[in-house]
Amino acid sequence: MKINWDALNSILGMNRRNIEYVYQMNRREDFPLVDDKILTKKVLAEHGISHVPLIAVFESFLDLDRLPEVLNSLHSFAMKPAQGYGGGGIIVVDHRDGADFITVTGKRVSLEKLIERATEILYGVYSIDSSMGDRVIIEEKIGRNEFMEHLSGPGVPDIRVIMCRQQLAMAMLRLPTEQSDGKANLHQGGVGVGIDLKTGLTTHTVSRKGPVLNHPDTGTNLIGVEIPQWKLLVELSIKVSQIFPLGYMGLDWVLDIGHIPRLLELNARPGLEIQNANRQGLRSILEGTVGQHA
Amino acid sequence: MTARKWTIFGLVVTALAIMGYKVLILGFSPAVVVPVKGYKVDLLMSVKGHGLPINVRTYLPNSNRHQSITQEVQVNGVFAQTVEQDERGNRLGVWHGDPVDGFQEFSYSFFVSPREIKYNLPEPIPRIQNIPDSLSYWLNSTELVQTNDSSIIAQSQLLGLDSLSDMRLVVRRVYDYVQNQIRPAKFSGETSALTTLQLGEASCNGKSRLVVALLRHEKIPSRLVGGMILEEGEKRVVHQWVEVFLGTEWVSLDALNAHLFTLPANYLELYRDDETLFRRTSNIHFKYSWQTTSVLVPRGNGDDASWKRHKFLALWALFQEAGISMDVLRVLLMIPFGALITVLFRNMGGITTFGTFLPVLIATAYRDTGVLWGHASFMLIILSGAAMRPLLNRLKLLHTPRLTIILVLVVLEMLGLTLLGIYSKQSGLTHASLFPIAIMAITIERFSVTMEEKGFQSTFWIFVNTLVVVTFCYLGMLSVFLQTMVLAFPEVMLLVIATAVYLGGWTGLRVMELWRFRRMIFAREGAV
Repeated sequence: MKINWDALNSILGMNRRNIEYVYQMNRREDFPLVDDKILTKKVLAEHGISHVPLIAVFESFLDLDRLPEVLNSLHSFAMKPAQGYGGGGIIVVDHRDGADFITVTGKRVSLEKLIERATEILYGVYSIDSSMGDRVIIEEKIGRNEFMEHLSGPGVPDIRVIMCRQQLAMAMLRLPTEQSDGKANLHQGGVGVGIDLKTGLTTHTVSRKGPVLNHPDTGTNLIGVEIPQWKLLVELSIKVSQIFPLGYMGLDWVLDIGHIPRLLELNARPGLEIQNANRQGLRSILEGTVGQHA
Repeated sequence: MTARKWTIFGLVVTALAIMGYKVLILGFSPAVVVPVKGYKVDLLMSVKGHGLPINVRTYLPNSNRHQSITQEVQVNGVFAQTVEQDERGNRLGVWHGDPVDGFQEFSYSFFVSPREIKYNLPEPIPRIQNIPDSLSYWLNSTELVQTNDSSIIAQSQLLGLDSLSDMRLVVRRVYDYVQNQIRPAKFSGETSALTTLQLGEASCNGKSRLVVALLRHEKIPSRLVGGMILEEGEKRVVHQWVEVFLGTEWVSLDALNAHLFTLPANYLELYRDDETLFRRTSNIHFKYSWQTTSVLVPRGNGDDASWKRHKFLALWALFQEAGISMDVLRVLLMIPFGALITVLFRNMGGITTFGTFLPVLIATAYRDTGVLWGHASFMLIILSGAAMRPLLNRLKLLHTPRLTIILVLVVLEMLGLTLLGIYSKQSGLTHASLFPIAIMAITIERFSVTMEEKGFQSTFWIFVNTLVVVTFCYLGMLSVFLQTMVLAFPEVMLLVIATAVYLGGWTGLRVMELWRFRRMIFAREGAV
């Protein structure tokens, strides 16, 4: 075993990310624009950016009285905390079976369970700042995309793009697994797949068990796969980064039916695991080509 | 970037300038702050009374050139305690109880930092012709020191003492005789000088009396000194040795343990003259023992000249005068160092703990429980609290009321641990009540949420990390050197800030990140 010093120096660590990127390029007052999904969607709607639309917001326990009515009227939806982190607390309902709700991973959930989850979200259990409490948002469920379903089965995969100074720095495809319960977040057990920015082809992978060649559930090959609509995704990402005042952020895209990209959410402190998915350090990229404008 | 560097520079320069000014210009000696080896001594006493008044009196140590006594604490129980002084300068602690019934405990504790005294006597010392009145007391013949007894006089002549004009030689000859010719024996009780001479063997008090008797006969003022030998553990044995007045000063010798013109560091002086250490009302059941633990004791006592001169510069002297507990001050001043250790672990190590400064606060509580009982109590409280939470979850309560219930449980648990400590006589456990209660409740909450979100394995590791960081905080904050340093040079705090600025701007990879990105850093042939 040999230490690769070049690779070591190319890695972006938590300290440098916070000091040189998050704190330096993102103003504190702009954080709510990305931390609060309701606010994010408002800005996106104003600028006509394709995103996952909001169905309803519940702000208080009093509000929850009308939750059963809203949920019962829906066939599919996603319930989330407005200021959640790491994908915690999310339930995605794919369809109904009588009075019950069936999640994307095929779990049966009762109305009571959904109300209980909504209550927890209001407590702030799943939120960035749990002491402040939170709001519950109900948004549209993304349609089933054949490409994504072929790769990872049910669940909602997304494409994470890291933007720095309005340029793409790194990207990865995040695939849910049975272990991650349909969520694409890597620390919940999802698989991260690195994407070559120029070609839109997948390169390396990372999962809890290390690099894999195939998806653990579907067995589909994950290397050298072309991401549909990659050119459009690149264009849209640059457009989004020009709208929001944050110099360093993560964009999470989902592909709807017909490969239509929709922006799911933004992140002011995008994680560092993307480097393992690409088998490449972010620091050298940020200080290299992307950093030339600084 | 430069702002950070300038800040660090400014802080370091300011701190060094203040320290330099104190040391170089004001002559504040750094030696004053170096802790010395010392002992914590607990004199534990107990009586069994029968409803009548009880008096117990014993000698309390004085601070002097040889020993510095600090942080005296009495636990008096049912007794009233007074301190008196006798005409020989001895300090007496008197415990008076009226009436005293049943088994009663009381104690007297102090820290002592002793130093060895070697008397350097290069020149011959002529005999004193006219003994001043103030010293004539130390020539008296007494019931146990029979200076004028014919056997003593005969022995003195046998040794040829009156032919020696150098007092040093007189003392040496007497010492050699008693050290070598009188066999050491373990006698309990008091042996007079005469008995010692006749038996040819004695313990410390008999040997010392014989030395004093022979010297007094030669008109050299001398006296017995009572005390104990400091060593770790529990003991009941008192010790006596001799002091001789050689023209200008009192000089020590011990003809049992072979110390001539030397007072060993571990001799604790309690009283001078031929006295009994304890006097008490008769017909009571009285027990005592000394518990001695060796510790590092901050230097700087009343009779250290350089210390006295710069007293105003040292925070702790001021606090001591104001009657503020040293413990409070130490905890206060050590918290920044604990915080610094936490920062080190978090930002350079990449180690996650429950709550940013929780380890520091827990470590503070460990000062009284010790690390073993501390960890045990901490684990018990957190784990049992976390076990309660699923039950609370069923009640579906709001955040703050739920936290309140956990808080009540924590308080009850601490009460339980304290009681357990009292009954099992584990003093470490009794101090579990000093844990920061609210912090514990929040930790239980966080532990449970982490458990739900990240699963058992992650939670377990964060918990282990927390214990590790607590241990290091505890060890760091325990450092007597740091404590004394900060007490004498509070400007060291500026260096703590400077270090925090440095660590806060440190952009290097964390140790845990080396592991996280190991597949990129440690290249292997043919990796996927």
